[in-house]
Amino acid sequence: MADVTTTNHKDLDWKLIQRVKKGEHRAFELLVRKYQGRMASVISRIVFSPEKVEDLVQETFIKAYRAIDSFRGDSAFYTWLFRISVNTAKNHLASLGRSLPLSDMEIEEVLNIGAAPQLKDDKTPEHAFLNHELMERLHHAIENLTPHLKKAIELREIKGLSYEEITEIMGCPIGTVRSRIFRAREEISEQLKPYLGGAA
Amino acid sequence: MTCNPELVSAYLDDELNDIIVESVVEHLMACGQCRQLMTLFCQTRESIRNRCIVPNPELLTKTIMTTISNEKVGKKSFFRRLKHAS
Repeated sequence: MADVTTTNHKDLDWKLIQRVKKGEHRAFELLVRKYQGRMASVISRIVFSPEKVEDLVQETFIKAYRAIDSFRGDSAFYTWLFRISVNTAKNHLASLGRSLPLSDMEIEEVLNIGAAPQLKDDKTPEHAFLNHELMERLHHAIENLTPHLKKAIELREIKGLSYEEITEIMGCPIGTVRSRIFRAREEISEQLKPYLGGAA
Repeated sequence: MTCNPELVSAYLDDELNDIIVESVVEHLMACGQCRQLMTLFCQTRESIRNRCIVPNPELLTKTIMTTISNEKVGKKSFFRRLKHAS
């Protein structure tokens, strides 16, 4: 069990936003790095051209930056950003004379249950990004992890459990869980690096 | 604080205590290498969760931040011009 208080996403992001408001735009970069992938996922449910998705992710963050003074922290930063990205994508569709194929709620549900079977269909637009080779390499990387590392990363990334919950399941200290998740990520990242376009 | 990739990983999971998290944020603000690692871990997470992968996250981040920086410079110049004009 954790012996210290941990800060949640909302608090972490809020602290960064306060720094952005004071003019530290590097703090905004951390938010961009943290959420650009998730925003790309949101937008790719609405707009199917990968190039356009990137343009709209860019537009989303620039709009968010311009409006950052109006963000009061009543909702999570992610929720606010999600709204901006959906509206940005909707506006893009409207400019083409088209309407949104899914409701906002459906988009959010789809993202929350990312492993839903129908989304694993290779024909979905999202999979246009995730090429076959990357998926094969990912599968291979996970399968080659030691059993402890594999279990830790699966409990974290697929089941979405906290370190404390993983500690109870795996019967080891929280520091060990943290270390296992990190080592698993490091090994998988190393395998995927050539496919992740310039990250690290 | 020196580079500690394990803390970057735990930071992304919001699993750092309040004391350490401040140091990690300060370090991320100062260290480009750890910011890149943060992006790599985020990309890895998105791929495990079967989500969309940004083809070039570093370029996208750079483009966004350059646009913002130019806007800031633009804003400053505008206010400077306004100040000089008054």
